[in-house]
Amino acid sequence: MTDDDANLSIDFLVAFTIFMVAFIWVATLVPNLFIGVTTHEIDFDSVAYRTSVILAEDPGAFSTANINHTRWEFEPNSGKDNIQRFGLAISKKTPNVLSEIKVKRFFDTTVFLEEDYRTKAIFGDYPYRFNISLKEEGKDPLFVGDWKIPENYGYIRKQVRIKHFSNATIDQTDVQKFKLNSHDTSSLIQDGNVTEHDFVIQINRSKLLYDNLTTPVINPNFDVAYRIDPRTEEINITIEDFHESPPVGAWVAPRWAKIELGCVTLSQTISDEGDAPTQLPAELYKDYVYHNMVQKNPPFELGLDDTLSVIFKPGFFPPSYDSGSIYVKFRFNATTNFGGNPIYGLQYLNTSQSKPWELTYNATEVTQPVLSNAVMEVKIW
Amino acid sequence: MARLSDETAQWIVLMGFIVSFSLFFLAVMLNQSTVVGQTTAEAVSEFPKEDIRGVRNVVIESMFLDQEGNFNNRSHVQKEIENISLARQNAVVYFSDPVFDANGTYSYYFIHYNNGVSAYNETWTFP
Amino acid sequence: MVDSGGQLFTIEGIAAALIMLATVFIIVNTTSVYTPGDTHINDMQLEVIGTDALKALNYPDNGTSGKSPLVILVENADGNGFYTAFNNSLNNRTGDNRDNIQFMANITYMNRTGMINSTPLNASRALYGGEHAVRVSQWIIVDSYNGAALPPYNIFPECLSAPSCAGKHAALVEVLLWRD
Repeated sequence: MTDDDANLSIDFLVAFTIFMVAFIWVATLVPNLFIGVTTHEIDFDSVAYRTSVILAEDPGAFSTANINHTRWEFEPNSGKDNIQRFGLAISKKTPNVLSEIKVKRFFDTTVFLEEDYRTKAIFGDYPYRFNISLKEEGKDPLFVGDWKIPENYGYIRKQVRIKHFSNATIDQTDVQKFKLNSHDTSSLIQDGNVTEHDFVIQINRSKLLYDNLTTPVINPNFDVAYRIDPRTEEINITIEDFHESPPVGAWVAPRWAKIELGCVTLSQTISDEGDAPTQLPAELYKDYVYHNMVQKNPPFELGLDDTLSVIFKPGFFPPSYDSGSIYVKFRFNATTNFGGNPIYGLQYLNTSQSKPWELTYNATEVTQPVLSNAVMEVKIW
Repeated sequence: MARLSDETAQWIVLMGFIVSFSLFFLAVMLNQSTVVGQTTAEAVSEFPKEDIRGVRNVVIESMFLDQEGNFNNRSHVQKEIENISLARQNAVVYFSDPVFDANGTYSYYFIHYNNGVSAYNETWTFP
Repeated sequence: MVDSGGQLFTIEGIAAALIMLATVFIIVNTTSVYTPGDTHINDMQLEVIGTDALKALNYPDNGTSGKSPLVILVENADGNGFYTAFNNSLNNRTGDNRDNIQFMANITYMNRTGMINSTPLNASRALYGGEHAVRVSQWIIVDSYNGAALPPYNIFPECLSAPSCAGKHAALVEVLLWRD
């Protein structure tokens, strides 16, 4: 008698069916399993893209410790932990336009360590290694991070523009244009006969920050990229031609006169309502006078063909005010000629009878901020 | 037929079953992880960040053109913007003339952009 | 007399073992398959580089002049100038060796009847077909008629020298980018 018992039980069949289904499912998933990347390497490109956007299109986060909201680029070395996020752009409205001060500060490796860059620009839990470099046209490249780069890294490149500072020059042509020495000839006070002359430069914050750059308005979108911002930028004003005679009738101190810069004082108003200016304390605001491009504090003598400059470094003026004006008052003495005999003159450098010389967006007076080209590369691995 | 101790054999099947399931689970994890990098790049390309910025800038620039002549003027340029945006960027752009506030010092511009996937609305104030 | 009871154990055991071994074998022995979806990352990189290069050309050099270098190049129909400026912007790197991205640029505009047309601006080389290209674009507002030139011309072909086409037009500068 043959044994016709089934060798396979019902539950074996059920189990085998489930196995086959799972087996087929895994077998069809297999082509997608290994695409040749592991977990960390997948997101190198994404992290590089994110870092490049944070650096090139974001102005950075103000530090929150100081109630005055110090901009991160003016945060002193001791307070660098207050910086929440780096960002090199001037503002959100002008992506890819970088600020020169922020670039200098970001690439300063004596202040910021690798860990700072990771927590403030790259973010993420994994300690990525990085190399961020920036090359401006005509200058040497700057970089932070590691030198040695492996074969496989995430890479992105951004073409950017860097905004530079404006500068202004006051020379003999300004006498004619502004009639700086014009005064009422019927008056008995003839300023030409006074030995001390005050020349005032006005930096009008409200106008510089809020006026239209062109008249009529062409395209106000990118205004921020071309503004002269006295709170954050370097202001550079040079005065020359002390001994020149302009072609107009009035004469300046002739070449045989001795001109001396007595003192320079700073004062400001914080609103536009016509309050009297308050003086800025000389102990805090100092070392901004340059004689022939060498820093020297007055009083000193101005020789023939000398230049006098005031250079206010970025962050020099109190950053919290955005209205009112800053006045720079020069006091010139022209008492004698080189032989020691008294003379009178110096009408050129005299604004006591006219308005102060104003820093504006007029391109013939002031060299406006220009944008230069640069390229930034971010490599992450 | 002799009764077998079914349960012992079923343990073997059960163990094999568990091992297969755990292999399947690991395979699913690996499969999902490789998609991460790919979809991030897709998301970046998909969101029309530069398109929106470009349209917004050119619309604002067009608001300051002169409304002179009967053919080439502000309205015509703005019509061109709307048509080119629809034809080349597959986006509907709508914007209106500025609305002034009570004193006439501030003006408000409304800009709408919609490319079927992302929509963008802005009220731009000048000055 | 064979006891058929033990066969059940054996069969089930062998079956389970075979299934597990087959699964492990196939998973571990798989070779990687390159799926076309990987090109998204390269496309994204190319698009970012291209958009930035074009955007950098579209910022006026200084605010008071008002016209960006791109607008000036288009208004003068200066194809060679555009090639130099854009090539420099696109393939510039911080290190010494330059990148090698090819491009082809058009200007898209609306003509008098309301149709959208394109006129070529310049290209680094002709498209042979089969290149995987990414498109980037930048909006400009240009004055299409240049009356000061000799002979006067209009940058949009349909208008030729007709001064009635003169005036401001909105145009889209579109560039196709690819790597060889």
